[in-house]
Amino acid sequence: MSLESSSQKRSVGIPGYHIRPKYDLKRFRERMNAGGDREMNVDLPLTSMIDMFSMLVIFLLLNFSSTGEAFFVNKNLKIPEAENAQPLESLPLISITTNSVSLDAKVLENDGTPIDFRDPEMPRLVYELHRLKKIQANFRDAGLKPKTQINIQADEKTPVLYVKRVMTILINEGFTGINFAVREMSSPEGQ
Amino acid sequence: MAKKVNVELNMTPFIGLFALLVVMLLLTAVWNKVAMLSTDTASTTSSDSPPPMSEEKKVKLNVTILKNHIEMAEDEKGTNIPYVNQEVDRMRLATIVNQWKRKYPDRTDIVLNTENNSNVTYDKLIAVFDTLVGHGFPDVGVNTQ
Repeated sequence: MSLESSSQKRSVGIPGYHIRPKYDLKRFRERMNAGGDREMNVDLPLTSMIDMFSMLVIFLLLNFSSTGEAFFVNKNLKIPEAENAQPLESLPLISITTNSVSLDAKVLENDGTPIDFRDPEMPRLVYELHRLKKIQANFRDAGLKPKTQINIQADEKTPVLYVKRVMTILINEGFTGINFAVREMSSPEGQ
Repeated sequence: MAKKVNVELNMTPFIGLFALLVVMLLLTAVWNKVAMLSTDTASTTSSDSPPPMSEEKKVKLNVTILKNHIEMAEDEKGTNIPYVNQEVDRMRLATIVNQWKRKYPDRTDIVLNTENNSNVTYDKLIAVFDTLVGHGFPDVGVNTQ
């Protein structure tokens, strides 16, 4: 009789907490069991997030460029800074480092070796400029007005002698409008 | 009795808009601002042809970048500006250029020469060019000889 009653008691018992202690979030369980006095549906605070987004947007707006023009800066050169420069135009670009000359990101080579600055004639550069002139002439024949200027970028430690040699060749080939690419430096007066 | 109005602004579209703006601006941001200093070499290379007779004799304003200093010449009258820590002394250069500008307010042209020496580097050329342009001489001609 006593056995029967004890088994009945066990069969109707409410199952207890059975999560093993290793995974038991004890504090959380206690808060959950504490009753309905606490709201567990917490809203994410969005104010700080919107503040952060606003600041990001303002910062990025300051760096925004509406011209959409990309300018290739050779990784081997550091161009000098200038305060009074004008906005850069999209033109053919000659890059001069201490050991190579590139036209529109293509390193000019003579049979696999970069062109020699000691050679004042630089036939490879002259050949490429002739090709460029031909393309411009084709544009002119098609009724367009190609710009005959050219951009030069050079490493800040490149001897001016090398830049002048390239400039002389450009002038001889008819590119008289030469623009030096520089990094824009904000003036100390903040103008 | 006044009706209590406690409406929460729906922030989800704002966050969506901001997220799109941030992505768009990140893609169009310019981290390296590149600009240019222009020179018209036609004006300096055409010096072989004689000037028209009617033209008043102009004072030749020349700036020459040398190995150890910068020489600023107003016809034959010259001033030397030594480098400071191997860099162009922009302040002193600007002072003399300002004096020239006061003396010749209508002049905008100047000839920039450089010595054919490997110590004369491109950053010095740009520093002098920039100072000249910034102090009223936008027509800088670079002599390639």
